Amino acid sequence: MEYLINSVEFFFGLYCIVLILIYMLLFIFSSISIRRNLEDASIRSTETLLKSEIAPGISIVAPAYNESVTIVNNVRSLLGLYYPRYEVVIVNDGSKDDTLDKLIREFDLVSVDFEVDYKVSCKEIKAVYKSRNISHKRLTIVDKINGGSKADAVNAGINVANFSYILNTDVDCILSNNTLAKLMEPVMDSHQRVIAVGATLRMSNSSYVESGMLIEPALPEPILARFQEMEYIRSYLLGKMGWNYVNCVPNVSGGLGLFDKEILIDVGGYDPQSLGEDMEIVTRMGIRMCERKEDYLIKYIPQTLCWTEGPDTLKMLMRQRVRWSRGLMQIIQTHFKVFFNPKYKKLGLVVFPYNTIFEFFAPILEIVGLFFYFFLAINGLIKWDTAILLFVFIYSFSVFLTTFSILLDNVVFNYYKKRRDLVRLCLCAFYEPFFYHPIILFCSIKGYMQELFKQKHTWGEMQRRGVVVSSSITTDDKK
Amino acid sequence: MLSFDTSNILDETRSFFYGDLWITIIILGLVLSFIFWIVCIAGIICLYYAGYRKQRLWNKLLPIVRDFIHQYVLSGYLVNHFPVDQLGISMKDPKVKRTIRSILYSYLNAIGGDKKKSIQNLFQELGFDLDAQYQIRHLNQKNLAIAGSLRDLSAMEITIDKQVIDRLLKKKDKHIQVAIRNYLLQYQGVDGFDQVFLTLHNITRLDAIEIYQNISDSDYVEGYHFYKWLNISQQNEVNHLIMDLMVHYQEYAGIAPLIRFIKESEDNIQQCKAVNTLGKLMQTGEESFLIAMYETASEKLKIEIIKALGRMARGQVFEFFRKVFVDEKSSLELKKHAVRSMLSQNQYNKVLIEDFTDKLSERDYNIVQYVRHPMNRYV
Repeated sequence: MEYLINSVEFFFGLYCIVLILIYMLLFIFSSISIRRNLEDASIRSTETLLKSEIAPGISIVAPAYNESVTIVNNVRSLLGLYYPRYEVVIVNDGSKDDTLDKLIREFDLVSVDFEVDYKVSCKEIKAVYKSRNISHKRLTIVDKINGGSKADAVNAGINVANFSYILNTDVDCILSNNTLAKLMEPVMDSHQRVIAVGATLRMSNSSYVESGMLIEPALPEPILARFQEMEYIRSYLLGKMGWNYVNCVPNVSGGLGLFDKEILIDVGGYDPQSLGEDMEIVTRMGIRMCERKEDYLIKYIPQTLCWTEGPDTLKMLMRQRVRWSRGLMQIIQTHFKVFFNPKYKKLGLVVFPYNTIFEFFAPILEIVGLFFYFFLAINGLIKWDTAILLFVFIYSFSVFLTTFSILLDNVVFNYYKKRRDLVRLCLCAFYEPFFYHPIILFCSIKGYMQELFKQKHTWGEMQRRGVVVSSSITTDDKK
Repeated sequence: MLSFDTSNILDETRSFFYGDLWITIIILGLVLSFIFWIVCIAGIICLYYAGYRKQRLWNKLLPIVRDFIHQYVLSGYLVNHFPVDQLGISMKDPKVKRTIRSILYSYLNAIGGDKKKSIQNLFQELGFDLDAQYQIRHLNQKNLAIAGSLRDLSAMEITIDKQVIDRLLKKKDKHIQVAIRNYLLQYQGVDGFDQVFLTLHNITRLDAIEIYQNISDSDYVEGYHFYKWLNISQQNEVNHLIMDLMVHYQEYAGIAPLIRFIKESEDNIQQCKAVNTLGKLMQTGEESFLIAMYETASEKLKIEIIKALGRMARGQVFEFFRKVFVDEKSSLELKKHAVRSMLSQNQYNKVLIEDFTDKLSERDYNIVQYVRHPMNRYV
């Protein structure tokens, strides 16, 4: 018995030490990565790409399903981006509400002759619409039969897209005006092939938005959305920017990601069966590049370019996180051949093992660890002074890492003009481990159980509340 | 052969976790976490107040500099020898200098002609040129500072000593490379082209776009032969840049070297770009050369050939487009481009095209209608 207890203690001790060491490495890597990015930005102007007639074209693909409330402003926002060569492809994924009617009415759309080459599989495209208004010449609306997933809708968009880079975003996302140039810069400024680029996302819940444009960002008022904002800042600036330094970025967010269309088509597009389609596609693209024996990069930039409305009720948040954890489990199952396989280079030796051991198993080990702790406590096997000291250390380390991410965020740009917002964000770091983290832990375990027992997943509908907008535009549309 | 005494390792581990060293490590970690947290909080506060003070300084200096510029530069007749002491600002503080430079840049980017020249003179009279010249001449300066100074000198249109330029051109640092290239192209114009093209090694596509932009934005109109830098053995990015410039300046003299380039190159990407360039130069007479290439070409090159023929031909290759279109082996992409190119010859082959479209199958007819639709912009 003692041997078993010792073994478990040894395992947990080793696991925690390795994880802390990885976080410390990320702390160093992200600092260097962000510094380099800012240095590059100081000498080059985004204007160069914005003015250039030889800049590569980008097709923005945004699926829409029952987005009637916000669709018009969101499309306007996408049409107002600054970039010399781009098109906006909105995929109406069989919406049951009046999303398509609103678009037709607002943008003066007519059905045009079309001939689609189904390079990646998707449900049938019923019609393609274009605007008669020359000022909306960049807009294409694809009306298709509902495919039951975002992936299927994006695939339809890829089939219709004309340019060699695809920007995948959600139609409710608010993009910064220079998003396209900012995302294209790492692609153009690299000697190796960049297959995907991502940037930081934030919550738009309490921000001031006018005509689909973000006027003033603000910290979300709903506490759940605020926790997510803090989580996103930590995940993007500490995690992804750190991994970016060693070219080990594990995924590019489904909310905002620029992809090389040729590779996207080569891997067969998004997997409609996957619940974590954004991470799955990046994994599959990486696998394909390794099989083609071509070097590749997946890049991240620290600037916030996308604001999205985060779930602000517990029910919606849980549904989202359960889906994410099921998606992660699916990826681990599907691509397990990559695990510690040197053929897949960094993907096989770093990215996939990290995701499996420290992302997938972490919630399971946390639960097992808690039970083990109770067991030890009941049997009087805990040395309390050491245990409390250890707990305080882990807690303070977690608070430090979150605060460090907020510092990095401030180094990149001072998004919060109000001092109050900054203070409240820093305070979140203190109570997040007690309130928010248990919810996420519960969702992860629930997701794993659902996936294990092959429970059917329903996507459900994200209730759009509309962010703080100017009254004249969408007050009537607010739910 | 290695053998592990597992129970021994576990015993040692347990004694480690129960020993003093473990406690010391935890306490050290705790103290370090706390110290780093304090540093982070201090950093956040400093950044917040630095931003706040920067904005305050800007708000304070902007009206002073703006009024001065309006009085003496924009409304006045002075082009130099401005009464800068009337500004009443001490230029010793680096923060003040940075702010004034930013304000002057905002005017410099918005104003052209003689008034721009006056702003450049004002820059110099405030002493920014001396600072910048000092930075680029001293080897111990940081690369970013040198790059920033080069940008200032370029904006002020100040001549840099040739020796200094040569020395900076040899530097491997990316930021300096970008800045010195921009200086040469923006300030020296056509005189700096040779120097820039000679030093183009290992550039990225973004570098190429920047060079293209600088040249096309400059006063240079014509006379320089960009094609002389075409070379199959050099980086694709450099060749693509030269071809883009050839198209921009419609350099017909470069057609013969371009065809030689297509024939000699074995790189599919280079060939595609070169054929694309040939098409955009719209010089007739090379149709048979491109048609001869078609059969053995890759799919991408085939598309480029069809596009090029559509741009340059004057009706004589209708039959070629028709064959590509009706060929069952042709992909939808090829068919679309064949129709597009065929329709671009409408003024020469109107009757033939009408006759051709009347006899098509339903699917082929749909493709033609799709391409023909004026709202389908990109094919």
